Parts: sequence; C-alpha cells; structure tokens
Amino acid sequence: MSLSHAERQRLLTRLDAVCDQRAQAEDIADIERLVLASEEARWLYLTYLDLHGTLVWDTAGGADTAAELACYVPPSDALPMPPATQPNRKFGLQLKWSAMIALVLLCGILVGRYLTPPEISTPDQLAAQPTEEVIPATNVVAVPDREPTRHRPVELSGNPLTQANPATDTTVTNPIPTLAAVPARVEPDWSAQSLDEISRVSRRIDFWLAADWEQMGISPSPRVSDVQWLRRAMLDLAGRIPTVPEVTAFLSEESRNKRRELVDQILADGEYARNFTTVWSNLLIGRSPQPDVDQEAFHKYLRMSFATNRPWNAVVADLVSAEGNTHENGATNYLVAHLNNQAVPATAITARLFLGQQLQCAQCHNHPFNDVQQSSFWELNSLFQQAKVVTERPKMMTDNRRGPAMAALTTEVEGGPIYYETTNGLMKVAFPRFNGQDVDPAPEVNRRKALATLLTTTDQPQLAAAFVNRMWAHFFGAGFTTPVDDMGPHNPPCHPEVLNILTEEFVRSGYDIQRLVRWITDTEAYQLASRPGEQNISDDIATGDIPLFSRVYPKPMTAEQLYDSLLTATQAHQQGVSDWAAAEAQRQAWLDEFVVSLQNDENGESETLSGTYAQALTVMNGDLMDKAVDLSPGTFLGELVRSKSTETEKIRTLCLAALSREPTPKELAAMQRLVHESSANRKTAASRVSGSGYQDLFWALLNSNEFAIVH
Amino acid sequence: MHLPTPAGMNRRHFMRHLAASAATIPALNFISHVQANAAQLKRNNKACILMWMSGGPPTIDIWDLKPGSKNGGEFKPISTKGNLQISEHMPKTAQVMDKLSVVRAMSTREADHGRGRYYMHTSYVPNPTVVHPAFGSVVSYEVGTKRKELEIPAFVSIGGGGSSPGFLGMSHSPFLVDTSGRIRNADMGDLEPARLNQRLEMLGVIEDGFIKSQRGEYPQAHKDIYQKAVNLMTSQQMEAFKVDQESPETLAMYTGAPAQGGMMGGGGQFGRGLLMARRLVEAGVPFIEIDFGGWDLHNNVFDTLKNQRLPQLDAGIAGLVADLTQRGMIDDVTLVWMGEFGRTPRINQDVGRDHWAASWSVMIGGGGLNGGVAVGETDKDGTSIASGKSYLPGDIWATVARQMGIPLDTVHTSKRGRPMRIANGGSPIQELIS
Repeated sequence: MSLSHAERQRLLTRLDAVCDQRAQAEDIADIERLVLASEEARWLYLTYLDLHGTLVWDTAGGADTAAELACYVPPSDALPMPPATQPNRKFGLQLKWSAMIALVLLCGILVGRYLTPPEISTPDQLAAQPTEEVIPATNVVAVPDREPTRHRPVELSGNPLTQANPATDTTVTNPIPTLAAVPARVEPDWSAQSLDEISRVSRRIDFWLAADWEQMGISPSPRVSDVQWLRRAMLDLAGRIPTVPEVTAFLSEESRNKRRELVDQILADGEYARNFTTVWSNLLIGRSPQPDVDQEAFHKYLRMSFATNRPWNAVVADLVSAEGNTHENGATNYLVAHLNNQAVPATAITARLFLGQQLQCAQCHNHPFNDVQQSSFWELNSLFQQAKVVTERPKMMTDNRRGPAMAALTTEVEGGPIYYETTNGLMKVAFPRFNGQDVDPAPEVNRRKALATLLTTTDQPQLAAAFVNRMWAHFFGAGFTTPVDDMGPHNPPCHPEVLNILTEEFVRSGYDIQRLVRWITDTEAYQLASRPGEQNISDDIATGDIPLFSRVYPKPMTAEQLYDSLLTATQAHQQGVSDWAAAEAQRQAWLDEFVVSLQNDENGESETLSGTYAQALTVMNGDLMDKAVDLSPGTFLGELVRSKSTETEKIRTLCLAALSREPTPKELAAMQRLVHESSANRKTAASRVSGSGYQDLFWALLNSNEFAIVH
Repeated sequence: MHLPTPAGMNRRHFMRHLAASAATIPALNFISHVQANAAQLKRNNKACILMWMSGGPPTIDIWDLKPGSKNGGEFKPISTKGNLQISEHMPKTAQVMDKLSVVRAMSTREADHGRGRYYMHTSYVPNPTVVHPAFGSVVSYEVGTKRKELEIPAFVSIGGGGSSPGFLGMSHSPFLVDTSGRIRNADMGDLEPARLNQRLEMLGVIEDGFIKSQRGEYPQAHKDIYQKAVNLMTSQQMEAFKVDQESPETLAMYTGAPAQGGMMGGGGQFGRGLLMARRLVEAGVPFIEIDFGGWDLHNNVFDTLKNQRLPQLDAGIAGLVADLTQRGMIDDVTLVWMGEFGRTPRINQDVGRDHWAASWSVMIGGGGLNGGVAVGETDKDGTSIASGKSYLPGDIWATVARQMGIPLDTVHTSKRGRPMRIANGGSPIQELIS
C-alpha cells in the first residue's frame, strides 16, 4: 500500500517534531500507524531519521567531537581546503568506533533492503518482517554512552508492528481518501475521433482528470460564463482585465470555438509576450534593481523570445551560455545577477527554475529522501566555474572622461573540478555535470556552451516537466506539486498521467511554449468556474489538500496585474504618457515601491503589495485612483458621465469596465441609490460636481475584492 | 508631542472628553492627567520589539566571543554591567547589559536564508501543506484583537520585507513602513468623511456578494484588510509613526550621532526604527519588528562589523534600553534580537564567515526577564553547544509569550483543522524567568 500525499506530509511533520524533541504521544501514535501501514512510510521514516536525525544530533551538540558539521557555504575560492581537524580527545576515538559500528549495522540493513527485489508486500509479509528495519533509531545515530539523555531521535515504544492501537486513531486528522487506490484505467482509442493538434492532447487530459474526479466521488464546477472566462484568460495571458469593447465583442461573437480563438489571438499579440516577460523576469532576475544588471535589456531579450515563440530549451540554453555586454546581449543578465557568492545563487536558481529541483540544501548534505546528492549541487555549480563578470567604464568618444560602468559576462580558460566539503568534513571533488549528463572538464572547453549544446541536442524531460508544472500552476493556481519547483520522488505529483502527457508532448513539440499554452487553456478544467458546487466543495487547496482541478482556484492579482488592470479599467494609459518607454518607466517606478530586498547572498526579495495594507491604501488613495475618478473631458469617467446614455446604462458600463460583468438586480438597486445620494448630498460648492455619484461607484468597484482577484 | 493612548481612552473618547472639559480645566492639566493614567494602565501595554538581523549575524563576534581560539577572530571581549562579556565594539550596550541576556546555546538546523527566516519567525520548519504565522501575527491575533482602543495594526514591521500571517489570515499580516515614518497613500486628501462612508458602503455591497460566492479565503481577507486600512487612515494614532516629532537629543540617543549634527544620512536608520518602535509601543502596538540588514558577511567580516554594522547596532540597542528604562517601560517591553542563523566559527579564506545554525546566540531582554545572564554556552571554539541544553526558536517565543501574558497552552487551528501549539510547544527559558 502506498502513502498518499497528505499522509506523507503528515508523517514528515511528525518526524520533524521527533527531530525537534517536540513529539507528543499523538505524533508517535500517528507515526506508528503510518509506518505500520505502508512500506513506503517505513522507508521515509528510515531515510528521514537517518539524515535529519544525524543533523539534529550534530547541531544540537550531541557529537561534540565532530568539528564543523552543519550547513555552511564554503569560501568563494575554489581551492581545496584542509579537512577540518578533529579535536584530539580520547573519547573522540571511542565515539568514532561506536559510530562506525552503528554505520556498518545501518549499511547492512540498507544494503539488505536494496538487494531485496521490490515487491508489493501483503499485510502478512509486513508483519513477518524483522523489527530492526522499522526502528532504526538507535542504529542511525551514534549515541555516545556517557550522556544517554541528550538529543536523540525518539524510540518508538515497543514494536509498532504488533502494537497498532486503534484507540489513538481518533486523535489524528481524518484519513484523506487517496488517489493511489485508483484502479488502472485505459485511455480510449483516440484515433477513432477526429482531433486536431490541440484537442489531441487536451482531450487526453480531460479523460484523466475526469477519471480522478470520479474516483474521488466529486463532480466538477459548472462551466464558467463566457464573460468571466474572458476576464480570467485575459489576466492569465495578457496580464490585465479586458476592456469594455473587448467584453462586448467577445459576448457577441458567435463562433463555437471562440474561447480557443481568443487564446490564439492573444498569443499572437504583443501583450502575451509582455506578460510572460514580467512573470519570467521576476523569477529569473527579480524585481529589485541590481548593480551590473540591465533589466531593460533582459526584458527585451525575453520579450523577443516569447514573441517569436523561441523553444524553451533554446531560451534556457541562451540564459546559461550567454556572453558579452549586458546591454547588447540581454540574456547575459540572468547569470550576471546570480554569479555572486561563488555562483551559489546561480546554481540553486538554475536547479529550481529549470529542473524543478530544490538543491539549496544539497549544497551542504545529501538530500534525505530523494536521489539528489550533495555532489549534484557542486557538479552543477562547476558548470559556472569559468563564468566571470567583468565591469569596465569605457572612455567616452568625445573627451577623456569615463562613461557609466558596463558589465560583461565572459568565460575564462579554467579547468578541473570544484572542491566541496561533506558534513563529516571530507573534501570531495565535483566534475561538471548537468542532470546526470557529463560535461568535459578540460580547461579549453567552454562548459556553458557545452551545456547549451546538451540542452538543445538531447531530450530533457526534467527541463520540460519543470516548465509544464509551472505553466499549469500559472493558469490553475496550483501545480502538480507543491511547491511547483520541488519535484522528485520525495514529492510525487498529483495527476501524474496529466503531467506525463504534457511533458512528453512538450518535448515532442520541440518545447513549443505557445502550443503548451493552447493545450492547457483548451482543457475542460480551464473552462470551469472558480466557485465550487455542493459536489466539489472539498476541492480546496487552502486546506493543503492536493488539487483536483475540478475548478480553477482563485488567485490574488500580482502587483503587475493590479497596475495594468487599473490602467485598463480607467483607460488611464490613454491619457498623459503616450510614449511606450515612458509608460514602462512609470509602471516600473510604481512597482519599485513594493519590492523589498531581503539583503542576503541568495538575492532574495519580497513583493509587499499583494493582499496587504499597502495594496488597500494604494488603490484607495494613490495617484492611479485619482486619475481613475477624474471627471475632466477626455478621461474615461468624464466622457461616460457626459454621454447621453441612461443612468442604468452608465452603471452597467462601469461594472463591465471594472468587473467584466453586469450588475445583479440587487447590486443595481444599491448602485442607483448611491449615485443619487452622492450627487444630492454634496454640501460644499467645490464638490457639487455632476457625476460625483459615478465617481463613488467606480471607486468602490475598483477597490473591491472581486476586482483584485483572478477567478 | 504625541500622547500615549491608554486602554479605554480612544480618540473619540478623547475628543468628547476634551470638548466636555475644555471649559473647566486647562488643556495642560488634562495632558498630565492622561500621563498619570498611563502609568496605572501600563499593565495592558505589554509589547515585544523584534530586532531582525537580516542575512544572519556573526554572533561569535558580538555576543559569544572566543578569545584564544583559532575561530576567535579580531575582536576582544569586554566586561559589562551584566554577568557576561560581549564584543569590544558594543561598549554602549555593555553599559545596559544588566537589562539584557544572551541565549548562547541556540541550535536551529536551518542554514538556508529562506528556511531560517521562516523557522526563526514562526518556530516551525517550512511545510508545503501549511503556512505558519510569524510570531508577530500570533501577537496580533492574541493580543491585538483584545486592544479595542488600538486603531492601527497590531503588528508593524519597519524597513523589512514582511512575513506571512499564515492561517491566521491577512488581517494579521504586518503593516510595513520604512524608517522615514511616512506612510504612503494613507492620506485621503480632501475627501469628506461622509463621502468616504458612502463609498465604503457601496464597497460593502459588492464585496459581500463576492464573499458569499465561496471563492476561498481571499475575498474575506481583502475585506478585513480594507477595514483595518480605513481605520488607520482616520486614526490619530498614526502620529506614532512621526519620528521627527522627537527631539534631536532623543534621536541622538538612538543613533549615536551628535544631537546638533543635523539629520544623519544612511547611518541612523536602525536607531530611527527603534525610536519609532518605542512610540508605537506607547500608542498600544503590541508587536514591532525592525529589520536591520547587511549581515550576510561571507567576506571581510571584521572591517564591516567594526566600521559599519556594530556602531549602529550598539547605539540603537543602548539608546532603546536607556529610553525604555527612563520611561518606566522596560519591564513591559520584551526585546528580541535575532537573524536567520549565526555564522561559521571558522573564518573562511575571504576573511568572512558562512552560514551556521548549529551553535549561535540570540539576545533577549527587558519585559521583566532576568538581565545580564548568559544562557547556555558553546565550546571553546564555538562549534558546538557545550552546555547540556540547546534552544530552538520556539523556546524564545514561548518566553516572549509568557512575558506578554499569552497562555502557553494556546492552540491555533490550521485551515485543515490541524491543531498548532503556540511557539510550536516551546518552553520559556528557566534562567530568564526564575
């Protein structure tokens, strides 16, 4: 029996409590229960306590003979360092011996397990297994005899295999039904149906999601109305809400395929490229300005790539292998932003964004429960060993003064491996290697160029899967794994068939980004409402449950979406700045206010607008709102108020502009009341402006939760 | 000058009171009356100020020096007014160490910036299925909601990137300000209150409709945060952010700059933030976090500390403690100083120190805790905990919770219904409370 996602998370949380010495009786009871119930849980228990138990033991001072054991970043010079010296104490030796004996024991057990061919154990077989395998605690961590009371992983009382106590079960969360119990399903013969290049893939996804819904006993939300779908699709694809004319046009369009046609239309349009440039630039180099990084040039590179639909593997190859001036070759800015601190950020971010692997921890130790080893981090790091940022201030042509500093990314002739230190102080070497593929370590070989060749000439399913996962999450508000950039055997995806289909097809398509977008947006799931019905109210990611995609999860607008949508709703972009570059600069200045650098070596930052006080205050009182409710001639609101349409018509237009929908009868009544009262109650001469009621209404619409959420 | 706003004495109350009594007693008398009341009501003004050292500070060079060790570095320890020694570059703080203690046996196992930040703020290691609240949000939830007179957010974060309120909801997220004290867009301009009310009423109609449509937690969170934002826009308590109302002498106390030397440039931001924190505590805010970055010292650690970080840190802490003591507030305000982790005892080839979570220090004081104590110890090279017991962030926050009167058996419930014990079930540190 395998472990469900929820059970796995629960077990990990409980094991954390054990490592923290915080485990309560119910934690232990639950661990017992889970470990008893599945072989996978036993493995998790074993591997988790093996590494984390040891780490906690070390960090908590359990093994005080060991030198510097925990996580640290090695010095930036790549020269080998002398191994950490062991303090010369008598009992140090004894401890080493006991540790070695314990290790030998453990290895014996592990090797024994590995040699056993994997098989599905019946409950009888489980019960017959010797208990040492299940309770490795005392073997895993070498507990010195002299202070037995100090930190050590908790020992489960007695034999968990024979002591399952149903009475304790009531204290734990209700068991969550698991997808793992789904019997094998067979896809229908698709060739019998006439499907085009898009529906060929999206129908298969529909099939698998529907199978999962049926298995979970839920029904999906109904299809969302066209106008609400339009709003969502525009926000996801173009990064802004639709305008009133766009809403009206879409509603009157009669084509049966109008949703698909709209996607094609936006993909062909510059706004798609601009939106995905924003999304990926935030991920790749962050929002905060950095010295040496030319954000504008980077945006330009991304915009060109998305607009020309450059294959994703080629984009990644560009980013890792770019050379030259940051201004002239925009792609260089990715590495220029992250080569600091011995390229540790470049390594971690490359693994996270392009491979969906969290390697930060592997910087210091082997990953506890997947096959990512510490060496993987440094092998990847070694690929960036030759990259150097050179800053120069070129002389001006006209006189002898120096111009502004310019950074360039270059490649130095340098060979050999990277040296790193393991948790027990051993020095090791790492030769350049990408995701299991070797790169020639010779000095004259440009490793980054070699990596680019690998990316563009061999299949990279992991690269594809990481991108597919993130793209799916972009549209649905949740990926196949949580977090989206932590994939691997330790964190199995939900709906693996869907992820596999999309990954395979994405590779086969030649990493065609726009085609991937078409497949995803053409799925039945993406047509559904965000609002749950009676039959799928349980499909709620806020509770930490796995997403079933029986509806599209609502997501708060990002800072950029909010800005661009406010501009769209109020047509503020049609006033004032007409120059594109100036408009971009204005947007950037507005966004900069909401980004705070976390001031660390991993170039971390946080966006402080979304869902915060800052958002409320900015939307209520900021400059944008002043412009939005401006009644001068030529403004959106000013023209509307002066127009000859009826009051109801005006209210309707404001609702369409802000929320892309008509008001409900109840809302309409309240809005009419407001418009009258506001206009009647102005006391002072200054505010007795015709249209103040519409100002108030528009203000309320733009400040509403419905405006600020993508749903 | 800004008045402290004691419990039961909100702005409306104040205005009414002032109007009623203006004819009979001079305003000055009234003010001193309020101040006298403040002392009596101080019991309700428990607060915590968190000094967050973004990047991970080298505590081995600040609070737990290792003279004579190969890891000792360039600095010497000096004696203090407490029963422990600290860095020679913290001379002013040394003079107030009778009020402050250092937990030298922190062992926290998360040496990645993101994970360490999360762990130290929440007491929980990151978990993909649940977002835990930072302790500031816990205080907002437990203490802030009980302070009916408080019109501004109960969790204020100065100069930092904020933290998540997790399952407690966005209305307990930190209110982010910078050290200028200028709150962007909090000014309604010349909008009349009546008109604002009309707008808000309309907003209510639209928002409630959307909340009823069951689209998860964001719609309600949005409404909650708007309510709080409107409250603060109209509150007199916003004066508390105006650090410039303080005298140059007071400011100099916190920044170490000469009082007549004009406004300092980038130098005094930490001190300014702390001064703002004191004003916020007086206004009734129970949790304030001040972010002071620049500690990720992978290279050139000693010069940077000596010339940049420590002078500011020293002046700020010493100024805050002296000011709180002078105002009789020190026993009500718990001070916590920490970062994501400490830094490697071993000095690297760039004369820097790297990430290190195995054995490091957190400073904690005021709030009625025992001062001048060193809790636990590291070995002679600083590489491991030499005393028997080591401490986790939950122990620090449990100590703070106790001093703030938050019961330690408090349990919060995650969205999924999982019970979460306050401070992850940590225990108050005995040496500090007995």
